Amino acid sequence: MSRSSSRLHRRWFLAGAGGALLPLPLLGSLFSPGTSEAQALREKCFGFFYQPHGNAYQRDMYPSQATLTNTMAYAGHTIRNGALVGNDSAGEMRVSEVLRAPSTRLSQALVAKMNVLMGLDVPFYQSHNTGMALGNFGDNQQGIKSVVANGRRPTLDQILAWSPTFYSDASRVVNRSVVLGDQSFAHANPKTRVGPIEMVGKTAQGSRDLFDQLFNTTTGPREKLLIDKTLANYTALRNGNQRLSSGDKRRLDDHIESLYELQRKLIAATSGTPPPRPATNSTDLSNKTEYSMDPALQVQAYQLWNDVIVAAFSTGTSRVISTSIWDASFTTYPGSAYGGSWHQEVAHKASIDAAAYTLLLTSYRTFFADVFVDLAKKLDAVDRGGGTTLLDDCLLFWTHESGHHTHDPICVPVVTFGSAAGGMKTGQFCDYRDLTRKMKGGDDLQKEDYEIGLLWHQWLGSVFQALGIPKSEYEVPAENGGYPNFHWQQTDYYTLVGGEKTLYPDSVWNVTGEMLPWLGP
Amino acid sequence: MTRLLTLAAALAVSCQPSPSERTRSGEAPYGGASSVGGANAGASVGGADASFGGGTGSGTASSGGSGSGGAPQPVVDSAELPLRRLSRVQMRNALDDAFRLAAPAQGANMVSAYDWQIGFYPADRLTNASGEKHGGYGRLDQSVQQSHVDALLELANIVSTSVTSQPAWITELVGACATDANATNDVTCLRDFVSRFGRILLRHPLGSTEVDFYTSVSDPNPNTVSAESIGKVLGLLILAPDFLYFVEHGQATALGDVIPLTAHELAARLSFHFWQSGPDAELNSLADAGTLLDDATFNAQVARLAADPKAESAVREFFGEWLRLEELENPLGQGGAVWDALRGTFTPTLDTKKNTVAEILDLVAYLYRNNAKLSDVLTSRAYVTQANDIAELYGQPAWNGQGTPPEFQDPARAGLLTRIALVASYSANTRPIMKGFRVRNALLCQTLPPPPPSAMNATVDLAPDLTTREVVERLTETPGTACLACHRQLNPLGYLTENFDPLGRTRATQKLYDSAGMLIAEKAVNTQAAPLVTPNDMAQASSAAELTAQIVASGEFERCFSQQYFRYTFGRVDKPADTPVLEGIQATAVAGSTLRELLSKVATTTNFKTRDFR
Repeated sequence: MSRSSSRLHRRWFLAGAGGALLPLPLLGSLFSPGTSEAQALREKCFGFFYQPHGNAYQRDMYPSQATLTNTMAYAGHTIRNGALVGNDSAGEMRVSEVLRAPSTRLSQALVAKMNVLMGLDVPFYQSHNTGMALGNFGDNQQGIKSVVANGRRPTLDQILAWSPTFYSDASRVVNRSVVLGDQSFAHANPKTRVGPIEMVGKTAQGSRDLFDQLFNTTTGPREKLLIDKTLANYTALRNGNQRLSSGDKRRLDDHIESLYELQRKLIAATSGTPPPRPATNSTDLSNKTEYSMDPALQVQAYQLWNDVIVAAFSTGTSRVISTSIWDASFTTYPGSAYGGSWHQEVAHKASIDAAAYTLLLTSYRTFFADVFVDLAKKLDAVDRGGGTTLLDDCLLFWTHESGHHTHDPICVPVVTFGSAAGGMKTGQFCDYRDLTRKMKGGDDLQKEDYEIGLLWHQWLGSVFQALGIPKSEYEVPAENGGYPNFHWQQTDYYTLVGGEKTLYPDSVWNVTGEMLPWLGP
Repeated sequence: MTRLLTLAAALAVSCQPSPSERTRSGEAPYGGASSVGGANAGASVGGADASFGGGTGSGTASSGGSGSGGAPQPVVDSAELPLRRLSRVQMRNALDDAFRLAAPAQGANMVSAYDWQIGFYPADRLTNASGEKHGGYGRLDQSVQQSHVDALLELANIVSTSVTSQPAWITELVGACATDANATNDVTCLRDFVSRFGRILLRHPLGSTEVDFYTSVSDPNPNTVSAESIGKVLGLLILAPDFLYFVEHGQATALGDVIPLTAHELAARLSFHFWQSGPDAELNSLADAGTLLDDATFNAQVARLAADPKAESAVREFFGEWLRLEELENPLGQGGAVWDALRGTFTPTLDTKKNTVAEILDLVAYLYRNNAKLSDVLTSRAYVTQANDIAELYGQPAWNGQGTPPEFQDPARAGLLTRIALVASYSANTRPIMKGFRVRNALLCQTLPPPPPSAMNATVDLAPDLTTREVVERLTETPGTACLACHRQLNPLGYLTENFDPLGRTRATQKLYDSAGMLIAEKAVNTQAAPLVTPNDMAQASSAAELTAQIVASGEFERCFSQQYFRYTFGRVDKPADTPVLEGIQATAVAGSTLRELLSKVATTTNFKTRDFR
């Protein structure tokens, strides 16, 4: 019995303006370029993409410093920006050594919808971590007591997922957030933000499994009856007078809330013909023995995911996705030839070993060109009317676990596509570093220093603002502006040239609630 | 109002706004306190002691900083795990066994019909104390997320439609009354089925109000037993809180915060603890009669469950997770000239990693079955692998699985620490530091602070003229460096098994290759070291056998076991208040009790038989 055979199909539509519903194009790809004749709703979408380690040299990750033609005094230092320039040569569009792709895929128009941000820091040593890039600072390998004890937060994608503003109309939302990696954290009750903060498990194992979840859902009276009765059962237990601890009651409340969410999902209003079910599941590829050594196969699998993401965003069945990429992806790295792993032999040696760095660079380049740009291009092919595309309504955000030195969250790169429906200006390269405040880098090959910039809190706060989320949903101003509310910095590890140990002065903390310069509409 | 009355009222329930919808307007943006311990609310996250010594918390480094660091948030601090849920393994077993028990002839076929759907239910994450990045147990993953709730509905749907898809299955499961031509017996037929099957699945006898509730979904035609109505009833039972969770109220007449469990609650705890599944008929019968609360009866049941072969499932799960077998690299992913030169004629298969792990799990199951002691897990030289690829690495024909397994032929195989799973890196180089870390941290439960940032780019490369040990010594043991303090506690534990190559084969010398895989030298391996099993024990050792003897003599293995098995048993991290229980288990182990007695010991503690409702 196939998974889908037990489900009732519904018709799915591309949302149009004023409630008009447009049948989805049934083309070879799930969503080949199509033009809707009606104005599209400007519902915003958010996509997060993460690769572990970092260690991409600044000279390769970012565009030329010569393009930073504008300066501004901000937060006590001088910051710089310029137009993002794509150089189209020999069929390749090149923004930087990492950020390059065939010009058939990465056009000048698409470059204009990108941003590259430099000089965004987390103010304490993190080492390996999960969720830092989305605002959960508490799960890091270094185990700094203050951070582990107090820095655990729900991640940005999960706040969006349960935001009454972001999903002001959840009637078509089948899954509030699609989690395909290990970077998402939420309260046990994410809606009320009560209970322990837990890692959110993966939504689906394969791309077609995700498709089935989003488009082949069951809405029979049987399921509705079962959920109604199950709600009654849980509620009776919760409110009965048999002995329960306060923790028991809280857990029951959480479960009841999840049942209400399931009930909501089951009645998500849709009708019509679903998009064509993909012929191939990404697991058809990833389960092959040669998968781990075959970059082409990996790219193909990720592009299958991209197709489903486009389908989800287009129909509004989900508008939030967070994913992380397995670290040895996109190269023919033969494995642990010298006793370690990609972790030890590539990521950790990339600052001192040219061969290792080449592998790392290849991984980042391939992800950008073949996966990230592929998704952007597919989203840009979905016309939302009025000269805008689905990509324009999105904010796609790609980052690394660390900055240009692995384990150090200083100058963690940010690459974006889309303007979040005008919430964020694009086509820019912004450098927020203070070039006068630095620490020596000094690895044999890399030889790149650290310069202190603005805070990650401000970047995440800027994402929220671009997506139209009111500060009341994410900010605790008494703590600090932006997100997360975690006003703390390490003063016993980093030392600036000159001996200063407090890297981030009040002038930097004081602006974290503002939109990052040059990004505001 | 009792729950049953509430249920009765719920028979006509209609959809209501969710609690949060009802109260949203009055809530602050961050509407509630969050526990910083994640799934382990109230877990010990202190343990700032950077030196090893067996703290029960994690060894987090203290660090200077400025700022408020976020306002400290209240932590739910109950000694008891709130509303514990079944692990995925437990849930699956309980469901499958219910059908096998209710339909002995066709139950297995019913299970096969829905088994594929279980894969869509979220797997449990190995979860440890907050701040500990290695190890952990699936039972400690107590999260119940939207994906669990969604998947359970799917599972309920698939199960209920699958097992009612054939009239013969319905006949056996529900009774002939369900498929006969007589409609007058249908109501009784369905109620009897709910009483009988609900008793198994929900682990307690169902009263008439509960039966009313579960049969109420058989609408629209309650007077007919159809596949559809039986399916709905089954679906509602699978979705019941009493199935997914250990719903425990304690004995109704007891007073205070810490309350004795009822006989049915105790039966469920016992059964899921030992068998990873629901109670069998004998346990149910004793629970129904209330005699399970008698100490003698209870202890006899503990002994029965512990002696049953079904107990091996939990034994395998516990030891596999304790020994961190999931961290083993997969040799299939390896490549390169040096790897090819090193492996020689050995070619890993798709199953090599699985077989490597299986050897350890088979060993502990064999020892458990044969009433061995905990220390036998460390010292046994039983040769249990039945896989040819692992046997090739051992250089000894695979055991045929019949009778008593032989012992290792190779005298260097001194027990657990020399088995392939614990010495092989499945790469071209051994990993003495990581081998040492596993012994120190997993087997002895001793913690060390995380490596300093400056150590992160240091890698142990193969060298043309140095053994791996020599490379590690130069990298981490230079006198006067900050590295030495920790690495003198890690490296020796790994050096003592450097007489095994990266594939776990015995060696006296280390072959040194150039990058093209050409053999350029061989150097004798040096296994002499001071393992510092306890901080003041400066005794030298030169082999895994001597290290094993030191560990056995120290009692550290038993102390570690007590802590780990406590966590596995109760699904939570131990706290200072649990020390007497831990010490009791440790003392039992040190006294030479059998594994079976040891595991039984936990079940006879007050913690196991009561619940803290604070």
